[in-house]
Amino acid sequence: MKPPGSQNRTLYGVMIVIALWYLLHLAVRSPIVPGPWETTVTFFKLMTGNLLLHIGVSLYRILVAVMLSVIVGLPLGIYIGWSKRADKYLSPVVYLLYPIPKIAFLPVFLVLFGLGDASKIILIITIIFFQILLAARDGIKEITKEMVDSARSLGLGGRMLFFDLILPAVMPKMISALRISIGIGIAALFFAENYATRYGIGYFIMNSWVMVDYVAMFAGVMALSLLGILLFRLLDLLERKFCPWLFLDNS
Amino acid sequence: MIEIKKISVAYGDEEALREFSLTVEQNQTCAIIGPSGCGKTTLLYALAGLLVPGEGEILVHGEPLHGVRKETGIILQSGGLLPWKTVWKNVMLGAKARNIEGEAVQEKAIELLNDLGIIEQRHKYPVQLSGGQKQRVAIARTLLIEPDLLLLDEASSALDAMTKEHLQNHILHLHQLCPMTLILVTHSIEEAVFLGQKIVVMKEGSIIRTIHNPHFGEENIRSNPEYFALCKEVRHWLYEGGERKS
Ligand SMILES: Nc1ncnc2c1ncn2[C@@H]1O[C@H](COP(=O)(O)OP(=O)(O)OP(=O)(O)O)[C@@H](O)[C@H]1O
Ligand SMILES: [Mg+2]
Repeated sequence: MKPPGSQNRTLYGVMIVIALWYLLHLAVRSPIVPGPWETTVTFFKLMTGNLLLHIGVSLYRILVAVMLSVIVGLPLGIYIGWSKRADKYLSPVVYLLYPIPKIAFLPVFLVLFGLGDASKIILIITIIFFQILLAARDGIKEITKEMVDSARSLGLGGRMLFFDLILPAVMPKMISALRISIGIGIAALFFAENYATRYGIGYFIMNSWVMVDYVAMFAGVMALSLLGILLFRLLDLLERKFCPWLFLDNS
Repeated sequence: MIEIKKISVAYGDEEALREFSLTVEQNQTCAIIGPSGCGKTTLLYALAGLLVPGEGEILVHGEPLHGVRKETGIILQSGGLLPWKTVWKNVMLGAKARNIEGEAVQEKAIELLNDLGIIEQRHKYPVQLSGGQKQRVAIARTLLIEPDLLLLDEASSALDAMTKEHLQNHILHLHQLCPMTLILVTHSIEEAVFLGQKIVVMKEGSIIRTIHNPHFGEENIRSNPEYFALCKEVRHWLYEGGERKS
């Protein structure tokens, strides 16, 4: 069989996943795994109602967390990558904090930042911030001494050094880090939304479970999956737009 | 006129240039040759203002050099092209920094790319180019800013014999076309004799011999017996010039 073309790839993937899902549904023979068809119907029905709101709240929390992490992590990572001194003093701290399972601090955040959006957003930030920061730092290492020297000899000043040298060097690693961050962020958010909130897709799924409405629960899982896919697609587009040199056919 | 007056450069404890002095007349060419690690790149860096000598000074047209000079172009050993920019954008980089990206400069860039035989590559990225093409892009990029002093660090060392001679012809042609002082570092004796009006043989941070080349720029110099004689002389100093002279 020929590998599917890029246009048909998504369709191909969707078909395989639905087929597997259906097989699972048949195999389990329990209401806990509803079939793809009824789930889809329920999904669309709920999307005109409150499921859309829940998804919207979750999307908002993810996006705010990602944006704040980038706003702080990107410049700080660049600074650490660029300055030997900063690397020496800040990297050890980063290495120590990075592997700590921040998700365990959710109760602390709930107490400190309240039961609203802030505690959830801050939890996600603490989880993905280091990914972003380290990606920016490592991106800087892609810049060779020759690039900096020739840029300087050509008369590039501060602004151009940043936009023509530093930012493009960091961009590919940044987008990869965002991909990973969004995956982890969604998982963490799902967890966090089980506590002290009445909004968010995590709440919706667990609430449907408690109400023994498994079809709605699966519709929620579907919505969450679609949210992930949507964000991944968005990153693919950004990557194609901002890193065209990564997509050369004959290199 | 470029006057290098007793400059010394050290990396930590390691001395790369020791009381190095050299004068190059305006619009003259000077080839610098010497074994690996003798300080050639360091010398070019100092001339480009990318590195400040610990001692001594460099005068460019009588002015002491402080930092990067607008009219000095340097082409580094490995090109230093930005991988995220197309050939065209790389070439326009210096113009962008000077805010002169107008039509006249664009026309000049097209002319340069044409001259250097890389006009068809202008939409490509550096990874899609051969080593020789990359070097030529780096040259075009530097020439676009119309330097009066051009510094070349082993521009042709990564190339095959034919492409190398092509590039050398190009450089000679360019020097005849637009007047500029050219200081080039090379590992190749033939290149030094072909492109240098003055040939400087270096060893361990100092000059051991300066040779004048009266046949510079002559037609078909490569098949000229005097050319071979000069090559022989350079080779002699390079291999056996143990004692320091100048
Ligand atoms: N950034 C640096 N830090 C420490 N030492 C350096 C540095 N750059 C060069 N050196 C040392 O200074 C000396 C001269 O180096 P330089 O690069 O000028 O040599 P070169 O003549 O250009 O050699 P090559 O022909 O191999 O390019 C060498 O011994 C090298 O090890
Ligand atoms: Mg060198």
